[in-house]
Amino acid sequence: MPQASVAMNTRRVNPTTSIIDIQGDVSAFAEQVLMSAYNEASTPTTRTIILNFSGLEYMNSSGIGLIVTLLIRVNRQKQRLLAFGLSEHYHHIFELTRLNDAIKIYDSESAALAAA
Amino acid sequence: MTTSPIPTNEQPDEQPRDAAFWSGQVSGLKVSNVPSGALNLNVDGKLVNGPLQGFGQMWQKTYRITLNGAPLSAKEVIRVWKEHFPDFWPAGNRFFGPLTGIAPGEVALLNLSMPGGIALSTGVLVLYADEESFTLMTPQGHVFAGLITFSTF
Repeated sequence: MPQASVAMNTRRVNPTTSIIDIQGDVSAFAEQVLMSAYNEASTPTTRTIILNFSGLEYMNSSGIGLIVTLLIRVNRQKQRLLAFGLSEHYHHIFELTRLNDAIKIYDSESAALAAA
Repeated sequence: MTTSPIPTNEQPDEQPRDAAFWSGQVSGLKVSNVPSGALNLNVDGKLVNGPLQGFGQMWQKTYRITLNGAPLSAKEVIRVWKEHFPDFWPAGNRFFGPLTGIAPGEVALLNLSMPGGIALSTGVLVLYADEESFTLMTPQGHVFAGLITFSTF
């Protein structure tokens, strides 16, 4: 199995909100990295997980599937998933795949935090 | 149907590596050239549905096959899979692919034999296709709402 070309950093902004900064490629090979980041981001008091896509360099359709899987896990914990930092291209991808129906997209980190 | 690349204000050299592999924006599916013998119903004008637009239990199923000793690279397997995709369908079910092959933005027709002798006509959008994978996305009216990805590594 090829190695994941992605790094993810988790920031717990406050007891109810965490941010996962994504740097690199999101494909099927990023699954372990993403789920580990989510496990770190999610605490008993976390209500909102925010994905920072400003470092995203590549995403294929398996990567979209991975985001869906994450969304399901988040919802099972009664949490919300938000996003910011999407380039115009990836914003279109979210619209094309209708991921934006369930993951609200914001223009900036501050806007996403304000909505959290 | 072929959709145009996703419009962007980004300069060509700033486009991500995956830009060319995605379908363009689709406001409603359209089959331009209906292959001979295909029933074209329930496709034109339909929106695509991802797994989040469906109802009922959501499933994620992964099927893996190891091709031990196969003298083919991952890319060659996908190339053959794309070229002969209609040949791999079960008897009674037909996949009418676009003339240009499985490529981003293309729409294929499906004529399926359902239980009780009912024929279902629907289709799929080629959401994504590169040298090592391709993904189909279902339209409204399809048996399920979601994505199906064929990939190799």
